[in-house]
Amino acid sequence: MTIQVRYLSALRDQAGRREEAVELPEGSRLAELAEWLALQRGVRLPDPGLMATLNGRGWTQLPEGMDRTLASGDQVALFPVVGGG
Amino acid sequence: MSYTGGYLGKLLRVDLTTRSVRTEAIDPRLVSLLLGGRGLAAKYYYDEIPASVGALEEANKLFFFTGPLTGLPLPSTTKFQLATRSPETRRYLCSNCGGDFGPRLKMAGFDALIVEGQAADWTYLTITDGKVAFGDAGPWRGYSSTRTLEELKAAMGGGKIGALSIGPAGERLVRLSYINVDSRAFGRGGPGAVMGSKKLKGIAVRGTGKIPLADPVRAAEIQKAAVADLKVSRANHTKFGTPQYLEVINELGCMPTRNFQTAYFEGMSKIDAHAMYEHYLEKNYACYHCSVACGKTCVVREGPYAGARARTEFETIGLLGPNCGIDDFGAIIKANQLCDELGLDTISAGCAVGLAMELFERGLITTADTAGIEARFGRPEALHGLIELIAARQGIGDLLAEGMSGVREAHPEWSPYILDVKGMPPAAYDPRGFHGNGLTYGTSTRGACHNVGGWTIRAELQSGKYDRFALQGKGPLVKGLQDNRAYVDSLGMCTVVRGAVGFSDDPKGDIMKAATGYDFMPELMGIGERIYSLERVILNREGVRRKDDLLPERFTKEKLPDGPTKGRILTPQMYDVMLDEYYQVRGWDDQGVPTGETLRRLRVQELIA
Repeated sequence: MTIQVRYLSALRDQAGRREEAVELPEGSRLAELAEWLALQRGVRLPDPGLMATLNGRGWTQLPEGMDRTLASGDQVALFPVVGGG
Repeated sequence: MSYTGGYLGKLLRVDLTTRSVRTEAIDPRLVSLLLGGRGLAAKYYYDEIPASVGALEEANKLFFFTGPLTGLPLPSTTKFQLATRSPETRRYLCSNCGGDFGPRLKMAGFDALIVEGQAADWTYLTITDGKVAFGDAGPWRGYSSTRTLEELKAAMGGGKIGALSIGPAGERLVRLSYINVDSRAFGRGGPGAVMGSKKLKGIAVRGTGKIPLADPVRAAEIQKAAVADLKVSRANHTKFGTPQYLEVINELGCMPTRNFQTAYFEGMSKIDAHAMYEHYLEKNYACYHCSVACGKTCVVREGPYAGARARTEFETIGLLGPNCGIDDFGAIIKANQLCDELGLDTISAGCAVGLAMELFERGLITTADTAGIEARFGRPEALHGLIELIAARQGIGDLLAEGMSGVREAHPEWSPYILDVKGMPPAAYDPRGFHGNGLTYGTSTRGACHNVGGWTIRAELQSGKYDRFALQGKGPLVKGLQDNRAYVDSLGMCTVVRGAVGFSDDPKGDIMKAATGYDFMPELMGIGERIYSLERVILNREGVRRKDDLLPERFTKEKLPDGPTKGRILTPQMYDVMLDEYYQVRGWDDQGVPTGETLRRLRVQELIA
């Protein structure tokens, strides 16, 4: 299945790209995606300095947490902690 | 209570009508209850500005108050506070600002400056240590706010000074006028028009004195550790400044676009932080004693706006950019520069232009109102032209210069397109995407402001305690953020660095003891709550009740039409759930009036007796 991952703001520099489609085995969870991100992009989660959303909801707010099963077409966004303008 | 550092214990009062000056002692009991800055300014406002005083009347005053940390050798001790009657909201205004003025005022020997009365002719003030002089600002009439700062510096003979000024918009009593403070701003609420009404073009201050510091050795240790912390924790601020949030807020479906008609801007990649960094960034700017340097001076190097220069911030880009449908960063810098020079708040100006563009596209105003400008979204010429019309009070600009309250009063039928709370238009977040932010706008002391009202977005996304679209729990969340901000605004330190020295909602550390000799830390959140409720008493006196804490129609009646938050809305029923919970946790009744028990518990009763 394909997960769309976007690297926003300063994360774009760390990941070396703005976005990409990540292929994961069917039934993968957020935990597997986090593993892939750490290995392939050097982005380690959880990190108090980073924020991550799945379809617009914070990962930390999902009832299943990192056990949340992903579905093809899910949108993930990663960015540094925001602090107000 | 006695303090061995941080405070000078006196204020300077200048009467422009009589050209008289006097020094007054500040009661240490008030300091112990209200800390300084925003807290003390609110108390003086309460005592001296009755509800009957209009913002542009002679009886209105400007209360500039520093905090105990202002000017000390600690991180970013740049801030000071203003209280006045707001021309834009017609109510109490609190405003917080960086630059050099606050620190220099303290070095001149004063914790605060109160300016009252009305000059007969255009005037500027200079303060050199304890000496005040009145200068003739007649020749400076019509000067931009930036040129006026230069004239003030020249009048002082150069060197290390702090200065504040207004531009032509303030002179013309435009209710969106800001005060330029060393190129930072008392931006919101129109305080530039208060100076304009007093024929006060600017103030400059030089101080050669030393601000007392209780424990210099410990303060130096705290400073060193904080600088090391900030180098890592605020690295993105140093590189990108607040524009780093543009792409994020857009991706989350909260970016005001075309007068808040939607919350996702398709042209974001042309105006985000990377676009700024790669093509427009000239240099960083740091306020007084700040190692972060989050200010970004940007310059347009080629094209029709070549030579334009401004320090663009997240809110400015959001409201002058997407909210006006503009995806040309050069045009945004040009608009920012125009606002700076003419003396307009970039947030309120961006909202006013966005409103005018929507009215134009709906056929409610025409080129006869806009001096021939095709005022459509996405046209830089329209953005720049409308800004100039507002500052000059020409055509539709004369009406927009009256602020959202003035526009609604003249055209109540335009209410579906007018965005404001208590007369102040919103910052660059759409609360349909973060519902706590709606409560922030509704209950902020000064109107739809994200700072005073409590910036919820991080907590709504990351804390794990709140869902961004949930209603329950937002009351205590917003209250805590507001109380935190109220005490931080009273310290004299910038909010960007507060985390590095323990100023959270559970304050920790010994910075206050090192600075003042007294450990304020356990009391700070309580002081913040006291300040917030004192401000509410002021607002109540000026007529504010529950009806004034409600959100504009667009947020409560229109679902977002597209983007990541498509279909989201914050209906009046949903909003009421949050507002009821908020009033309850604050100890206010169902009309938003603090109960007698609350006022006694917080010792506000002692302040208003």
